[in-house]
Amino acid sequence: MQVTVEEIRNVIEESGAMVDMDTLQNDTTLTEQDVDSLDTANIYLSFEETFKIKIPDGDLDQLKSIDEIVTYLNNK
Amino acid sequence: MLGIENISTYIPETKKSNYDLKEKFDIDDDFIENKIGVKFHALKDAGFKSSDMCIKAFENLQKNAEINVEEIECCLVVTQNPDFNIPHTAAIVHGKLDLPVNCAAFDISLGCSGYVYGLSSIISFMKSNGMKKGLLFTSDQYSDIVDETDKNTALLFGDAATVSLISDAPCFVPIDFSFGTNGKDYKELMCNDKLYMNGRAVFSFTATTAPKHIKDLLEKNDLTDEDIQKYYLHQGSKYIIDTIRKRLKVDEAKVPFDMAEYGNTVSSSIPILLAKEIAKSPKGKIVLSAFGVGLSWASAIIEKIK
Repeated sequence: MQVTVEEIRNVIEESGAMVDMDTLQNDTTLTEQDVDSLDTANIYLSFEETFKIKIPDGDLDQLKSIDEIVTYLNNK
Repeated sequence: MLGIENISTYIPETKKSNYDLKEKFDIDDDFIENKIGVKFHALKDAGFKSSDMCIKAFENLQKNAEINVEEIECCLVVTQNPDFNIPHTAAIVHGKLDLPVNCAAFDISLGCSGYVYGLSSIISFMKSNGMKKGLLFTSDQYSDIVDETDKNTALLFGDAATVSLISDAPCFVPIDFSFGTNGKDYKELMCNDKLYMNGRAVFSFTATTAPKHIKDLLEKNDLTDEDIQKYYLHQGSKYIIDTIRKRLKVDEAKVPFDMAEYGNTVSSSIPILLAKEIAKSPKGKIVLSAFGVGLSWASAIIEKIK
């Protein structure tokens, strides 16, 4: 699978998560940018539905920032 | 035709504030009000059990409707926090209300989907046995099982009970029901001494299952959103209600949100909404949909006929 930062940002924006896309940084963890557990669950679900994959709970440590998410999905 | 004649509720007056838990769980007002949507949890009196809350709900029903307990032929209690493992709580309620000896009494062990299951069960049971008056209770006191250190659950749940008078002089009548279960994921929401919830798993399950279940039920009955007056969704959290509504693409005004002052009351959440609507809403079709522990889900279309 090959995904880009832009695609990931689009999925986050479309997910309905209450996130300010203008200030969301790619290299900083979502948690550090005050994205809470509910929005994070929503975002991960949107990745699963968009890319038709399953993200196990055990993999979440590899998906803390947008850059990490891109790397993870490109290795799927 | 059998249906819901009246509904009363018992929501304890004592409330626990989530604003007092902001520092403990590192949350802010926005999270409390706009994400989980619970400002206060209803908290039962210490020592109060499931049957005690049922009796309180019944006492409130007596204020709203003429009830002759001698006419009650069926008593069903939906609870996952029974007074004891043995006997069933419905028997205890039966005794406390002094219901007739020829009255059937049984429990259903279900969580959030319990009211919809209970409604279908009691109506089917009464119909097949020629009964005309029954009581459907929901009652759970999660304050007894919540782990106060667990952010996933300590902010959400409230204690409550409800009672629906089922009779042949109904206000709401059922049109259709639909049910579902995914028992393989039962561990995502369970109580083994204390309540545990995998928030991400439960969110994903609900966000993907509930909207499709509702759409399929409407389609099966040749109905569209235009035919539906209101959607009464289990009040799991504000976030999940908003998510289901957005995925259903229905107007916000059609999907009441009402848990801010008392919390997620499990199987009582839908009858609490119905009780508030019973006097004021116009005739029309209503969707009920609930989802949770099991994992279990249930939806219904009912119609307000008077």
